[in-house]
Amino acid sequence: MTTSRFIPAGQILLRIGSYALLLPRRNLLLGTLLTLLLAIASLLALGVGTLWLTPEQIWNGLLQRGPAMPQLLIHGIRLPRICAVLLAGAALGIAGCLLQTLVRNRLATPDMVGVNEGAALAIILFTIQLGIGSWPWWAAPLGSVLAAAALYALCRDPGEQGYRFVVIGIALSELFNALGQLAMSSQPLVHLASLYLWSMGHFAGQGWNTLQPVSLSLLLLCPLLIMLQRPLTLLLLDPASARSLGLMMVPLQLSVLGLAILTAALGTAIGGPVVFIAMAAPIMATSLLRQPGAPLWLAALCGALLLLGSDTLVRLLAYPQELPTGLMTRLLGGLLLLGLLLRRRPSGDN
Amino acid sequence: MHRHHRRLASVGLLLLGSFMLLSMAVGAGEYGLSELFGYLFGYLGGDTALHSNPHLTMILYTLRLPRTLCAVLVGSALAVAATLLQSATRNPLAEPGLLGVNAGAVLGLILGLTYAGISSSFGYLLWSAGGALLGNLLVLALGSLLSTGQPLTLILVGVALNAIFSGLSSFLLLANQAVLDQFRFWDMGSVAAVEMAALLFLLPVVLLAWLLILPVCRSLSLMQMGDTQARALGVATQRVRLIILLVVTLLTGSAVALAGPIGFLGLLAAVLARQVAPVALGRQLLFSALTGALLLLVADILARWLIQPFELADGTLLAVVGAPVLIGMVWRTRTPWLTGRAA
Repeated sequence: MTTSRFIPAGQILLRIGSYALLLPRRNLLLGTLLTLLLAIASLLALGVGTLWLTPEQIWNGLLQRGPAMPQLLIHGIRLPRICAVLLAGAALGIAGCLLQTLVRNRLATPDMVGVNEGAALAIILFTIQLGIGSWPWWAAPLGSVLAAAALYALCRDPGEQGYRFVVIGIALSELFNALGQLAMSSQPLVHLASLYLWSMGHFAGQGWNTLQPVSLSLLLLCPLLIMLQRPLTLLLLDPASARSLGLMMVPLQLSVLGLAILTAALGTAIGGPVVFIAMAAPIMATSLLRQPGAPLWLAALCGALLLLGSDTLVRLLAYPQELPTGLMTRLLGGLLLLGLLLRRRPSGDN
Repeated sequence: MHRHHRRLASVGLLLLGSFMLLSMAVGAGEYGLSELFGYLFGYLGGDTALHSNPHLTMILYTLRLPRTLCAVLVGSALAVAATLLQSATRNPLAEPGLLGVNAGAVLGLILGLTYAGISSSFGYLLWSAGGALLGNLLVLALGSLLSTGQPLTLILVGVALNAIFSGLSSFLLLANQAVLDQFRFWDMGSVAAVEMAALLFLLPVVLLAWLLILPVCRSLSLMQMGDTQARALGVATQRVRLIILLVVTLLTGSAVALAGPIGFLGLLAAVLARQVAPVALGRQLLFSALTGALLLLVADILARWLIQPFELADGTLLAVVGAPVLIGMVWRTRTPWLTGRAA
C-alpha cells in the first residue's frame, strides 16, 4: 500500500520520523516566489535615492567593504528604513488578515476601524508628554487595546456582514485622528515636524533602537500566530459549522481579536498609521492563491511587499522631497477600496 | 410657520448675534468686550478715543470681523449643502465632508494653485467649485451604481474618494513646495486667515445658491417619498437633482475656497435641524443654516480661546464633536437598511 493514495491533490507530504506534514504545493510555491521578489525589491530599494548605487556598491556596502560613503548610506539610512518597512508591512498584513477573517468582511481592517489610529494617538500623547528623545513604541498596544475596547463596547452587534462595525470604526478613527491633531496643535510646530509626518505614515529616520524591541515583541507573538492558523481557517465556515467541529468560539474569537490588535499596534508603532496595507495584503494573498482563507504568513509577505513597493515609489516620485509613505498607500488604497465596493455590487441577494 | 418654530428661530438669531459680538471680542490681542463696546458705542457717546487707536481698528477690521462673518457664511453654506445632499440621496449620513465633496474641492483648488497659478478670488472659486463638482458627480454616480438607499455603502464610497483626493492633493502640495506649515492649518479647516475681499466676493455666490433652491424646495420635499411617487405627482426629478447638484457644488466650493475642508459640521447641523423640523424641508434648510452658522462660530471662538496663545483648527474641534454623533446615529438606528442589507 502506498502513501500517495492518501495525499490530497496539490499537497506535498513531508515525513520527519514518525511525524507527517501535509504542505499545499501552491502555498509553498507562492511563498518562495514572494520571498524572492521581496529580496530583489529590497536590494533595489537599497540602491534608490538621492545617490543611486550600483549593484556592486550595494553588495560591497552590505558586507561593509569598500568606500565609506555607500556603507554609511546603506547601514545608517537605507537598511534601517527598509527593515522598518518590511516589519511594519508584515505586521499590518497579519493583523488585517486576522480581523478580516474574524468579522468576515474585507473592509474590517485595523486601519479602517480605528485600532491603528488609537495606537498612533497613544504614541502622540506619550511623545508630547515625555518630550523629545525617546520613542514610546510601547504606548501603541495600550492605545490600540483601548480603541478596540471602545469599538467593542459600541458595537456588540456587528450587523449584517459587519457593515455597522466598519462604519462605527471609521467614525472612531476620525475621532482619534482629530484628538491627535488637537494634541499636536497645542505645541509649537517646530518641535513636531517629524511627529506630524509620522502621524501620516512615515518611515524615514526609524533607527534600530525602535526596530529591535518591536521585532522582538512580534517574534514573541509568532508561536501564538502559528497555533491560531488552523482554527482560523475553520472560522471561514459559518459559526454553526465551526462550532460543530469542536471549536470554542468565544475564546478563539477573543484571542484572534487580541492578536490582531497587538500586531496592528506594533506595526503602527514603527511607521505610523499607514492606511490600507492591512486591507490590501490579505486580498492580494487570496487572489494569488485563488482560494479563500490565505494563511497568515502569506498575508505577511504580501503586506511587506506592498509597503516596500509604496515606500520605494514615494521615494522615487517625490525625489528631492521627503514625502510620507502613508500618502502613497492612501492613494492606492482608495482606488482599491473603490474597486472592492464596485465588485461587491449587490447582485440581488448581497 | 409653527409658533415654536418662530420662537426657536428668534432665539437662534439672538444667539447668533451675541456670539458674533463675542467672536469680535475674543482673540490673542489684549482687547476684550469692554473695548469692543467702547468702540461700537463710541459714536453715540461722542467718545472717539478708541477709534484713533490704529492697533484696535486693525485687529477688529482685518482680523476679527472677516473671520466672524466667514464663520457665519461658511457654516450656513456647509450645513445647507449637507441638508440638501441628505434629501437628494435620502441618506441621513450624507455630508460633503464624509462623502468626499470637500476633499474634491481641496484637490481642485490645489490643482489650480499648482498648474494654473490662480491668484484671484474668482479663480479660487472656479477651481474649488470644479473639484467639488467632480467629487459630487463621482459620489452620486458611484452611490447610485452600487445600490439605492444603503447609507453605509455611500459612506464607504466617501472614505475611498476622500482617500484618493486627499492623497493626490497632499502629494501635489508637498512635492511642489515645502508649505507644510500653512497647508496643515488650512487643510484641517479654519476660518482664521480669511480676507475681507474674498469674503465679499463669495457672499453673492452663496446667496445665489440659496435663491436657486427656493423654487425646487417643494419638489424636493415631495421627492422624499421616492422618485416614482414624486414623478407621479408631476415633479421633474431629474431637473431637481441637477439643481441640487449645482447648489451643493457652489456652496461647498465657496466654503472650501474660504475656509478649507471642514468636516462633520454639515452632519451636526443637519441632524439638529431635522430634530427641530422633521418633515418640512424649507424650514429644515432654514434651521440648518442657522445651526451651521452658530456651530462654526462657537467652534471658532473655542478654537481661539481653549489653548491660548495657540490656535486650534475649527475642523479638528468639530470632528471631535461630530464623530461621536455619527457613531451615535449608526448605533441607535437598528433598521435593516442601516445594517447593509437592502431588505
